[in-house]
Amino acid sequence: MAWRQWLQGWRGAFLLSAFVLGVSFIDSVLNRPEYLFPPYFKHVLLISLIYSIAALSLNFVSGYIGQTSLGHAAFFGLGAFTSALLTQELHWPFWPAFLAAGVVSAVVGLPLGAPAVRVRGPFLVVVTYGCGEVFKYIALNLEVTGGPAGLPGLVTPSLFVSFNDIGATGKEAFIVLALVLALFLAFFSRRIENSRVGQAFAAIREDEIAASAMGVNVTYYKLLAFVLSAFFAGLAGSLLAHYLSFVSPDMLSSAESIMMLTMVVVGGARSIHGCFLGAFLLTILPEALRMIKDTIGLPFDPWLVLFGLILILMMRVRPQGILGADTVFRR
Amino acid sequence: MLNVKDINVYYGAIHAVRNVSLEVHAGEIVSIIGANGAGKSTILKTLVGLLRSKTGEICLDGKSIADLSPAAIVQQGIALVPEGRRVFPRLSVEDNLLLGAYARKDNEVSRDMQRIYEMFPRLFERKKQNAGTLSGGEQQMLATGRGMMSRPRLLLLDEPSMGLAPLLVNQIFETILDINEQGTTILLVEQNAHMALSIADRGYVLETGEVVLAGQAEELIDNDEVRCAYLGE
Repeated sequence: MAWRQWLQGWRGAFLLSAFVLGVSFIDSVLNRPEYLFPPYFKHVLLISLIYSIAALSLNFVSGYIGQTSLGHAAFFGLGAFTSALLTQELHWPFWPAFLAAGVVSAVVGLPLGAPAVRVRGPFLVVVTYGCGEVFKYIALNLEVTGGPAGLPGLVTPSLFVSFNDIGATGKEAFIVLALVLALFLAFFSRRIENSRVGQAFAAIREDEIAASAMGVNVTYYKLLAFVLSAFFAGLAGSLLAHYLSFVSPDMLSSAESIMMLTMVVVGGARSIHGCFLGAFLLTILPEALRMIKDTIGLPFDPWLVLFGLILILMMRVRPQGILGADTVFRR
Repeated sequence: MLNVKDINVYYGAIHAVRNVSLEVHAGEIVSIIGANGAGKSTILKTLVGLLRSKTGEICLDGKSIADLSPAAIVQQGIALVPEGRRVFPRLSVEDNLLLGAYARKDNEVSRDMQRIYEMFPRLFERKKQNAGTLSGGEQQMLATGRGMMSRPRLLLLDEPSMGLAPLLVNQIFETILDINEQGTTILLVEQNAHMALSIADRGYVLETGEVVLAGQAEELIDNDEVRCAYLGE
């Protein structure tokens, strides 16, 4: 597809940034009583960006080394709870807590990646799913994590001024931060793809035994993928928590994990553009459908029905994902 | 060059290789023949560290390699061309070859790649194509070339004739002779006993995990038991 090539690299990043920044700041510049882009619209945009980061981080495991993980929300939520607790209990400022969220997720990701060294396919799905559930129930039952109610009232990040005081709606600074992180992760992923590490990831994905016969240290690279994946998921989780100023065990639920994996798969595993597309599509669609439902007065929310249909259709028509690589050969 | 003494390999409770000892001298072609399930592939996998022996020694040039990781063993100069070829199906021919050189740290990789392309012009024609789209013979060429890319001193070939048309089998065995003449020692595992023995210097006959016969290749071809059991005469 020619347009996909056209979007590669800086061009795609530039277009995305122009769109996001345009939407974010046009109201601040116009300064009219009526919003051109209402706060709700910006909220959806920000959530899409945060899930893009989550999808890109999952792409290390489920894309590059081809291991299906159904526990990614555990890292996402772990990052959220880490920075929430550090800022609330230990009164850390946001930025170090934000970094610590990534680091703690990565440190926990290391032992959780260990089973992936030994099991794969459906077995790994069960293991990662189980790990995710364990984290959810820990958060539900600990006093310090606030139990089912979660932790409200988290600090708002600030860079000289509080994020809430920037822009027309107070969401603009969050959007810029999410955009910067997402773009950084996209370029980081591209660099990985073209490096020795990426070569090793590809070999492991295609044939583990042959990879180790070539001298690729399979254990090391699998763990590396898990750690990178967990680190960036932790950052995304922390960002979401401090934007909502609230974190609850729902962030760790398996439904979240499934949604993240679906974003990667629908967008196209191993495609950086695909991760963005999947995240935007699956964040915007349910919102749009809710609006349609309200305007025409449907008695039920059509989203879940449509979600199932999309998945079935995708697997039938384009199993490699919308932007996934076209291959003649399929196993 | 390679000295294997009394190795025993298990798959769980199954005793797959029993007290096997073998030697490969520099410059030789050595063949291990035997029926399905005799433990031939298991021996090769143990040599490159994909499986571990419970006992015994594996020495390359006098130094033990039994405890090294597969990556370290590749760097010591042993390469395995695995059974069933195991090319990376959704990577290009070129990327497959590059992965063969993964353990190397010098900058002569592209020169060696040229050499592989000269040896197998078909691979050059298809260098941008996904390896999974190649024919069986081409995949065997690719797997062999990929093994050569690590610049091995000892090349282990696991059933290179598997599933190939007779004409291609001849071609593959000629390449093996070529590779050997250019200075690479070869340990070959084959069910096609006649072919394997006809190009080899020496041979080992394996039965249910044990070496039952060893000797010069010509002697083995003439041996009555071997003729009867493996050559179908």
